[in-house]
Amino acid sequence: MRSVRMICALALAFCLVFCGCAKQEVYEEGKFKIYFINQKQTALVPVVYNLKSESTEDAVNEVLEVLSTKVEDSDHTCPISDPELLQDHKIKNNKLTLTFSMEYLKLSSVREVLLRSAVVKSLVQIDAIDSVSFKIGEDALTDYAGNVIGAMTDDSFVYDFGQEQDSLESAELILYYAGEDAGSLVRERRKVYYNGNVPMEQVVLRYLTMQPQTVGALPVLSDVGKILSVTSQDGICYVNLDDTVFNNGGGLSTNIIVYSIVNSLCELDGIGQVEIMIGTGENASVLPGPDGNDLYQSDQRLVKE
Amino acid sequence: MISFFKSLRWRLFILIVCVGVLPGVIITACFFHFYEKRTLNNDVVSITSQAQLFNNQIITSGYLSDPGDTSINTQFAALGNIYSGRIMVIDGSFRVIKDTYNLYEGRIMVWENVITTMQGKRSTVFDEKSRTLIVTVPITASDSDEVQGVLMITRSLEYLESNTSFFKDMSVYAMLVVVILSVTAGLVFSMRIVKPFKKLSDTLYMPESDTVLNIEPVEDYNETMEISERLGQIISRMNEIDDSRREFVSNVSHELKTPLTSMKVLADSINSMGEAPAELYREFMGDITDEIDRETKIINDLLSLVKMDKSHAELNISSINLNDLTEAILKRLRPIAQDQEVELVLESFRPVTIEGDEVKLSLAITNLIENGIKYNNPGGFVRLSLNSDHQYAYIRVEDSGMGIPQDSLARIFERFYRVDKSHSREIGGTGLGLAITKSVIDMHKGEIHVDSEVGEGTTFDVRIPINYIKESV
Repeated sequence: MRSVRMICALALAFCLVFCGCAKQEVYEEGKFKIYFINQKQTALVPVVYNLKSESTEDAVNEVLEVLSTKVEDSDHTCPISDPELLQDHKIKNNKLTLTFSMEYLKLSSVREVLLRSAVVKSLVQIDAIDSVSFKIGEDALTDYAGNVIGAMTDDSFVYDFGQEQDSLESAELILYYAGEDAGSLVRERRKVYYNGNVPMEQVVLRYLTMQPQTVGALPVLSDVGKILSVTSQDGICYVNLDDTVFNNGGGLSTNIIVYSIVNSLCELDGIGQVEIMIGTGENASVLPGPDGNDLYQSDQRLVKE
Repeated sequence: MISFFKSLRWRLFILIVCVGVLPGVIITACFFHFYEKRTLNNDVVSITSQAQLFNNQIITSGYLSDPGDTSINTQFAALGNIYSGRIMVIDGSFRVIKDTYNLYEGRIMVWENVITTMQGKRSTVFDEKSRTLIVTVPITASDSDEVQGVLMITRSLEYLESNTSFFKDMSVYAMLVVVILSVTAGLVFSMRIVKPFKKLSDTLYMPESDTVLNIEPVEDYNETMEISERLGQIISRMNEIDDSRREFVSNVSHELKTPLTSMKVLADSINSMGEAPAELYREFMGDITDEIDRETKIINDLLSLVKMDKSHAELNISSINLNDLTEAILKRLRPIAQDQEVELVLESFRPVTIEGDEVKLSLAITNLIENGIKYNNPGGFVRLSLNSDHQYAYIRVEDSGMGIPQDSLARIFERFYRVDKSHSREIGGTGLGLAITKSVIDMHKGEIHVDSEVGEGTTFDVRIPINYIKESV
């Protein structure tokens, strides 16, 4: 009997190890993938790729090469079907600009969007590339409504809706928006949705850019782009905002904006104080707090009941 | 060997339980399968019609260029709440212009289903992991096929899960009840149904003591009644045989005792006589000797009868010329016939040869002729006729004797049976002759038939197959 038990235990352990190993192989997150287009021209097909080049320039060339090369005997096609399409590329400040010929405008909208998403999602994986922009000849690419399509990142595209659905989370947050009179704060309990991989501090600040549900209340930040970074450590949240954050047309005072951010962030577990830095590089400055140090704490006096 | 699996009771029990439980299980499984399917279908239909309503509103209000329309947005928010789901509007350049979750606005959707829908095909997908139903519908103006955008509505199917699990719980309770009922019914009915059989086997129980077995019919089922009747027949047959055995034993004892009694009487007489003339002694001794002879004959006849009963298969088959055989028998019996003033006649229509046991057949025919002589009147005759066809040999023994009354005809072949017991000593014989004859003829697969008129005579007709028919074992 004992020997049977031991064998069973060994078998079980073996299985677990095996499963773990197997999972490792299937789990491809983190590996470099080049995006192709399926034969039906209806979806992207990511294919794991071994990037050989070391330098950024070489890597970009290598990826563009793969993206333009016809694939034999496969269930997918290369995104840049006509090598004549891509004329030039330029890298500046970690931003890549691709220039296409006028032929690009002849692509059908489906084909065009597939090409664009495949190319951007592939190139953006290169370490030194933060974003990709498209140009047709001298002009920036525009959408059918005439709006300029600027720098694109991986986030600009939603590719695997199912998988994104899976990491979708929801929570109830307490957020502080600007009141109607712009001189007080409004407390709002709101259901929020976010990608599970995104930290809660970012979610809070993002929602402060959106229209509140309370009638008459106003959003505090005009644009997600104003939030440069946000991190927390030891109960203190460090927020870095763009220097234009206080230049809003809505007439909100700096105090309201600051305490909207501080109060909302302090509602999160584990955050008791907030430090705000404005701007980046040499011009960056920390907002001085009320107690003489650089830290802000939640102030409920501004909240209108 | 009482095996659980061979028990009718337990088979019935298992059958009843299965009949109770299986349909329930099958029906429940089917129900769940179809319920889910149907619900999903209904959802898709309702979401699609909802999308159609929005489609028109979106086109007429120009929502795709300006998604600020509060009325439509309020409807979206309300629907999103009802469905615990999400609504997204995507414009012609695949940009998300509205997302009730506020997550994707401004992003480009290159998800396959959106792309196919942008090309005009509605799509429905059920995402297993997040348990949501995702429906994408093309936004088109009513008068053209041109797709201007895509409307995506997702609906959480967790309500389906909670419904299903509720029903599953209910069905578990229901099945529990069904199982309990089935098991109870099974136990009760299997016992009830099997009871009469138990009754039957109980009535058949024969205790060690030698009581007469009386079977009461078990009338619960046709089947048991039939069994009881047949058993009753067998038992009465057994009882008959038992009775006839008793009778036979008592007959044998009686027959054996009779000569002994006579001997005793004679011996006692001699002893009590004192001095008697040698003549008287000789006479008495002669009588005693006669009685001993009689006893010996009875015992011999009995033995041969018993032997015949036992040794059915031990016939010594040979080819027998009946003409020769019967001539020899008549020749042997002529002196006795002459004593009785009876004439013996042999009539033969053709030469007859059969297969049989010569000794036994000789015995049988001799008995018939002897009877003919014994039960005859002086001046009478015994005629033996021989005939045959391709299948049988026919032997007829006719006499002009005293005849046999009609009511005795059936019984004359029984052992020790005498028509007139009072004259048996004078007539002689053992009462076994015809029994032996019948036994021999039966062994040869033949038949014997008797006709008689009291005062006129008796005729015995014997028919024996020419070729011996071996008994199939």
